[in-house]
Amino acid sequence: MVELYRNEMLTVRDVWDTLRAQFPQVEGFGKSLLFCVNQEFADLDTRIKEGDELAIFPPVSGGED
Amino acid sequence: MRMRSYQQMETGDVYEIVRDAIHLDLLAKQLTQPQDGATLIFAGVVRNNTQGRRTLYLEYEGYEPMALRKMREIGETLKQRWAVNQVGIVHRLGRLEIGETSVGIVVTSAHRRTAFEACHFAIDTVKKIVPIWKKEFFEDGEIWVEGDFSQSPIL
Repeated sequence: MVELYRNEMLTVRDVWDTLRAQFPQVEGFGKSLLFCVNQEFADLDTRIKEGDELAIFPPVSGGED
Repeated sequence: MRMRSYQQMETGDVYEIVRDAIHLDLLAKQLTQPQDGATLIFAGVVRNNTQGRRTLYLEYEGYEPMALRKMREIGETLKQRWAVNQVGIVHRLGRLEIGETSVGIVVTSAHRRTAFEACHFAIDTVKKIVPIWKKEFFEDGEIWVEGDFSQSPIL
């Protein structure tokens, strides 16, 4: 759980930066992560508001070749 | 043996995440209608090796609500782009043994070419945008398989 208090508009980047500072071990995943807001693909500039669901995960690998 | 049938939406299509065996024969039978001339059935199965390294079994995990949404989105895209009648996409999570079906796709259409093309698009897109991951267990260790990042997840 990460709590952010800001008056101005928040973006995915703000949350990601906070997470990286708090959990340096995620840094290794670097650029190969996907960001989703409310179960839709998003990017670092996507705006988020209170109550939004943010998911960060690696490229998907379901199914079989 | 599965006794219940797959849950069809109002449109007749099926999108499910399950934790037991996928019965494609049952799904195909449920989705096929009199106007169909082709029922295309794709099964993604667990292979016994990855680049020569022997796989013992796999474990699948998913971000389930989003995975279901994306499966539905793929089905809707199929119906917009191709003259398909019904779509069924079922993905299994949990531990799967070699040879078991991890993902099943059924596409019905009046004609086979349409069904082949749509089904091909469906499985390629499942592997790109549906948030499900697999962990491979080998004799000497285990790894989470990372998908291909160069494939944009935006449809």
